[in-house]
Amino acid sequence: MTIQETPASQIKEDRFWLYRRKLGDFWRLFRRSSLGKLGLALVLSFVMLALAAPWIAPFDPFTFVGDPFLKPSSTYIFGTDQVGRDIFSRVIYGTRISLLVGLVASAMTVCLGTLVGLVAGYLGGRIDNLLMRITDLFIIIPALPLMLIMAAILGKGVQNIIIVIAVIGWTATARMVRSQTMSLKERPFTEASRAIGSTDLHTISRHIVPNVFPLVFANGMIAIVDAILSEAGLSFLGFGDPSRPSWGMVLYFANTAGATVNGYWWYIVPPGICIMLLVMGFAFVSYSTDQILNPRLRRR
Amino acid sequence: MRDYLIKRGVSALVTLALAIILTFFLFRIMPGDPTRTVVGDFRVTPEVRQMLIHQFGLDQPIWVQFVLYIQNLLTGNLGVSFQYRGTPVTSIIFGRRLFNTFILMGSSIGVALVIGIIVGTVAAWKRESKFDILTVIFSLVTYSMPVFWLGMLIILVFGYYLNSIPIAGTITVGMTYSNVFEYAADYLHHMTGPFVTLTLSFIGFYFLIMRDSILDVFTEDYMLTAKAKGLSDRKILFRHAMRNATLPMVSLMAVEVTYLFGGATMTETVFSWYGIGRLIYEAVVMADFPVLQGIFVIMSVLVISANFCADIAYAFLDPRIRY
Amino acid sequence: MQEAVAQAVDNVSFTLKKGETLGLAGESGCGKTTTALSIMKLLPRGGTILNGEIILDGEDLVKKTDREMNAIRWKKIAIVFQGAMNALNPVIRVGDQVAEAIVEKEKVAKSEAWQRARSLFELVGLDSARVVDYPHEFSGGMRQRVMIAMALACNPSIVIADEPVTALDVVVQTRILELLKDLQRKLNLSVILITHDLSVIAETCDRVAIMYAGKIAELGSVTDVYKDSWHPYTDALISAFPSIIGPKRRFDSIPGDPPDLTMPPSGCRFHPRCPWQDETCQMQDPEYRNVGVDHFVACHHSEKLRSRLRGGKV
Repeated sequence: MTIQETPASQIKEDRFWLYRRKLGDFWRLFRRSSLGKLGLALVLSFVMLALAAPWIAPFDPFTFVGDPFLKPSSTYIFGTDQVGRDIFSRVIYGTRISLLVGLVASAMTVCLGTLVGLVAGYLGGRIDNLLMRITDLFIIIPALPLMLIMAAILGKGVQNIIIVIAVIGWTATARMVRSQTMSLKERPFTEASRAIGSTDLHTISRHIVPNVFPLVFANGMIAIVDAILSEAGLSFLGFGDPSRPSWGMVLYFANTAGATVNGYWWYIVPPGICIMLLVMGFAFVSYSTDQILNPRLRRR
Repeated sequence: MRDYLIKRGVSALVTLALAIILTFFLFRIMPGDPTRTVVGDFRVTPEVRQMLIHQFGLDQPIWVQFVLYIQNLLTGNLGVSFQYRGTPVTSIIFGRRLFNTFILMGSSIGVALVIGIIVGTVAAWKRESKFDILTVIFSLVTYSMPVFWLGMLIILVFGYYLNSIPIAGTITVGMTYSNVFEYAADYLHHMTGPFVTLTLSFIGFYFLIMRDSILDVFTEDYMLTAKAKGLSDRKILFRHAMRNATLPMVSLMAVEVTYLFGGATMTETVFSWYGIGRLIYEAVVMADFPVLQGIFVIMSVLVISANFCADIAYAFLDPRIRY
Repeated sequence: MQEAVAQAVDNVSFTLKKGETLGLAGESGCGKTTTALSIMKLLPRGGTILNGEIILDGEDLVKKTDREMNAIRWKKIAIVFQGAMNALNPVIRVGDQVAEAIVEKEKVAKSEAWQRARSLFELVGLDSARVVDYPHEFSGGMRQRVMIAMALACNPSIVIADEPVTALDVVVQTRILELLKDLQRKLNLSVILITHDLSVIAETCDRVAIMYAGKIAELGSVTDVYKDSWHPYTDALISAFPSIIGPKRRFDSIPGDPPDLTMPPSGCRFHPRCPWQDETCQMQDPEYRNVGVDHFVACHHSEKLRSRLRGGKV
């Protein structure tokens, strides 16, 4: 019996088609989930809104275009704020910041958390202990107060908010990735990989990462949700960037202008609904992908 | 069981120690002048400024400060506030504020937990029915709403339009009460807004987690055994399923405690509820470091104890851990 | 990853006689467990009984509602799952799990139910003081005994045992099988024993149904089926067992895999793996017919093959 060697190019091509098929399967299942489609539609709508902001917004969000506290009309769809700026335009442009912070901060969170989780779970021992202690600390220390303090230290600015959210939020991903890595480490294929002499890096990237990926992806969706809500909260408390107002900041200005006590509902309702819809979009997508990717859930 | 608890207890103490140390350094590495709050008014002369710095011990080398810090902690001294000149931090935190936050948070978490668990269980049982779909959507919607926005909406609708609830404070200013019940009634009336806000914001999460957990339990073999025995649906659900489904919730709750504080801060700020959450916000804005430091230490203790209690509760609920 | 309909059980027909042990044997996925679950109307979500009847004491179980079935479950028919797995609730004491059926169905006081639980434990060879323990405190074999005690709690007349000894080591297997035989005699139970292990069937059953791809290939007394097989599949299964007497020979395994039940092969479901298949087998589903005293077979060519099967072999 002769052993035929599969050329490396063939292996690469096989793997490409394998992933493509898996992606196709995933997409087919996803299309069937109405909740998932709705979520995706919401997210994409907001993305398009953010990209097309200069063309959709009727006014510049920073200039005074009318009398303050005007009710909604055909000119000012959401009315005006306390200095006469068009709220509709501000909300449209706010989409950009809220999305930007949400996506970038969660990406950083997930990367950081995955890295820590992989290293801790795979290497184990002292390094694991040390990393877990650090993780525990970050979990123990109350999130919002820490965020507030960091925001106060770093000062205003969108990039600072991103940093703050990322630095606080990585713990959940880290824990999950770590426990998954630890269980994958015990599986036969890891032993086999090491037995044939692969380096640790090779084992991790080729065998462990692809198996951890679905979990990380699902976690990433939740991270986006958390990031958007955290950013909104920070901005509402006044720690946002006034030069690039997000929806949360618009609500901050609304609050300081006494919108609630004076009944300026047009100032309060639209930005909040936007936050809610964007978060719901990601939450729905997360829910549907979880149903598909998590094999345990399929049994149900 | 004893070994398990001892191990957990030691771990908790170690984490607490690390948290205390971290808190200390966190506030020392912050840039800017720590006495800014105190000497913010320019009427203070440089000599007085120096005196205040000395009084607050901010001119000592950092190691001395650390030793003093630990000493003070052990004697229950958390320092003196910057913004409320001279008031000990302990009396600021442990007083009306803690009581108010405790009542508000305790009741909202309690109610949200009970409703979330029961409705989550029923929704999982009636999977894909109208009830299930409606409750899931309701939970996803409330979960997606920012807490503060929900608060603002409630103030708008019930405070401004319907004028049925007060929109700020814990009690009506300047009112006199003839007995404690009148006082309690006014207090609870003021608590309605923040209570509803917080409860709604928590309930979605608990519901979804419980429902998820019960669906997981349904895949277990012992559920088939229970059905094979011909037990009633109610018995199967509440006796066999729920007891196993609440286990992961207990561990989750402990981790979630920190986020509860975030929600409380938001709500208290929106409703001007005189509690710890609002204190945090004020202290950050006024850069009152002793108060913040004190809050951090207290919160760390609270969270670590909550985690430890969760560990104990878990040991009680899951017999596999006990032996 | 498409959703399709699988016919897990097709045209399965048998009678269980009072006091006998009937074995259901076959490879994994051949439909034996589905048959058992169907009898107790315990099919999972997505499973339905399309047609047929299940007659017990003159009543058709298929027509009964779930509530009506609850009255029958455990009282008339009980099932023993593999106790080694998670079939026992890990957070409830075993005594409680045995007693709850008694309390629920016979409306007796808890104390009396626990007393009965204790005597059941003794009946299956367990220390009755252990009724207060939790499932994880028992070994695999002992958990199986607990499952058996639990199944007997309401004095059923029929017991279905689904792979009762599969996950246990051979020594424990023997003991459990002996216990089952003993209990059956003492309590005059009718037992359906499901397993893929033919040696277990040989030791415990009176009659056996060999299942393949959701259908019965052969049904008869154990002696008839084992010594005088009429179906090629049965013959192949029996031949796969090495004999401790006679010269050593190579294992005969059956080539191929069991079919995908969403797209079963045309004609006889076994034909792709049968060494004697021909055009008739490919086109026509064989008739399930009587070929002896209480002996049934579903194969086109049994008569022809009978002389070749087992006849000349040692």
